[in-house]
Amino acid sequence: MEVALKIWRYDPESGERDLREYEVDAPEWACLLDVLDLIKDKHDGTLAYRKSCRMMICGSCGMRMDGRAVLACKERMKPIADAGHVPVISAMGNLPIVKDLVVDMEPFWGKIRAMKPGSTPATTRSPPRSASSRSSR
Amino acid sequence: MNAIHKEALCIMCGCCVSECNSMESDPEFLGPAALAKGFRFVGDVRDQADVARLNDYNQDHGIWDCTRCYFCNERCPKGVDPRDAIAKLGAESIRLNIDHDMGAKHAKWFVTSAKTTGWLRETELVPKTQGTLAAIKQIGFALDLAKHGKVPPPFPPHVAKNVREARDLHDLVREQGREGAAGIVQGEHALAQIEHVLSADPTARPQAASRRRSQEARVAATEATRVAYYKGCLASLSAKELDISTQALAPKLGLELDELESVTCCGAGDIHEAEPDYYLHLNARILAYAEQTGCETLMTICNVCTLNLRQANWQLKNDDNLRARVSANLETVGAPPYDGTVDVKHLLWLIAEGDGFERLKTVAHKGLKGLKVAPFYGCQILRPSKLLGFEDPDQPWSLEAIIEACGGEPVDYPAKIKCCGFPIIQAREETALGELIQPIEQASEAGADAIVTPCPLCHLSLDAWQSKLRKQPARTSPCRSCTSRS
Repeated sequence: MEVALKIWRYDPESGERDLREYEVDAPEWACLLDVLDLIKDKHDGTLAYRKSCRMMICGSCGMRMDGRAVLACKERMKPIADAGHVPVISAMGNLPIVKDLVVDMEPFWGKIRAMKPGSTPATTRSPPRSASSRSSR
Repeated sequence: MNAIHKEALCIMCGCCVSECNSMESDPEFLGPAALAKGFRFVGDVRDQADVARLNDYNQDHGIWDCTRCYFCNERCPKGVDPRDAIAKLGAESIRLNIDHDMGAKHAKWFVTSAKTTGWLRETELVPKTQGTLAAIKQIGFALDLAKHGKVPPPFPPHVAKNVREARDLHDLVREQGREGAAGIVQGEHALAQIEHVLSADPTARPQAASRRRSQEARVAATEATRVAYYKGCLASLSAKELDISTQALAPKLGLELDELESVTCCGAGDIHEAEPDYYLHLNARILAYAEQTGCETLMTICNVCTLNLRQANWQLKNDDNLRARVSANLETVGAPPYDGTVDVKHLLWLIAEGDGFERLKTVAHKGLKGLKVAPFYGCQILRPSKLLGFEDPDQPWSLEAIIEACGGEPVDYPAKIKCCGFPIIQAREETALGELIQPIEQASEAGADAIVTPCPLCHLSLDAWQSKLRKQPARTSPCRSCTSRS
């Protein structure tokens, strides 16, 4: 199946942003991430994106398709290609772009750390609220 | 269901953060992913630091900065529903008396209103949220609102019929041990069964509809559909024009309105966040009175009422045990039980489905002729689409069709599906105004003469709060806004 994509490229060295169109021949089962892999392997090795597990469990390949944040490994391309639609792929919002589709996740992790994401067992418990303060609501 | 089942599904991909409207306006906002992670620990029975955690999360840029745009729920690829996690944190905070934040006070005032007068005590909301001193500083703004008929007089209070039932219901559910996050978790069994299908018939789009013969529409116009009409708080208070125009328009669209009297506020998302079990019961009571009229459809005219009622309705329809408990409580206080037979629809959808546009065309007298009109959908008529499910939340079309049917020219702009900031406009004004500026600026750049919205809350912020945007340097906002029926 022929799949066409437009990708918002960003070069951090020159600071240039550029919308480039790609067309690849992909198997019918391909998801967006598979198509990006094909583009990187066969057309343009400079394309940057993040990936790891390919099966919706690692959370690495978040990006935008037509302005909607998606996991690239979850989006099947067949219905899109069949409809003749050329989706626009861009980096996620609300985070600084490092290169092409890669964002700097540090602000994200900083906020996760601020939540103190570790269990606090009973030995270090904060003073429990008295029963009277609960019932005085 | 395990209280933290959904939050534990998070893979920290950042899709929710990418779309967060509050974070766009306030980059320091903790955001949906982090707050969902927070509830993963607050809701975990093994974790003993709930009070310390909630005090942390209740600071600026925390729980109460969420603008309830529901983009996070819409985008999450794993079904975490971060917005619901934030509501659970709010509910736990209020259960544990951590209510110093303006957002918490705002939410609690909705509860107080519902159990005293039934409807929102709108005029007192600002002093109760911001404190008397801060409210006095707003007096100039308030006078300006009053001049435009946007401040309902507090006396005589607007009291719902049979409000005693709402009061008794509050005392009753409080004794049943479903306070705090448990009130939201109890509905998740039913919410998990939602199939994500849009109900709108694509052929109802105006291009197809306009090809139909108008004679056909005129024949159909003789039969009226009776619907239960829930007007909500604002259409009785600061947005009376919405009720007046709805009452005038409905018969021309073939709708016979059976107005509900013994009903209260839906909670506007605030009671859902403060006392979710009470929220469920208040909405069940509205649905039960709607069912009693014998109508199949409960019609709303506000985005927030639509989401709150549809969410409660889905939970009650799809969980027999939950419905049995809620119905028994309703009967205890003297209200009818709810059998789960009503469907909740916004007036916009009732127009958009069937031959609504054709009927509108014949009665609209080309009222918007020569005007470029920007549709503004707002959030809670589009997202979460699995609960609302009328049209594609990213490419909606129903308002455009209404503008065309009324003779206007719709203009397109990206922010038409984003948040107006209204839910946090009193607790976090700066963040809210940062959201509000987007649709107003984009619509006016697109050449719009006016904005049309299906929600009286969006209308209030787009219209009334524009004056605050004007006062900020380099921000001009020459756009009028009107509700879709005025």
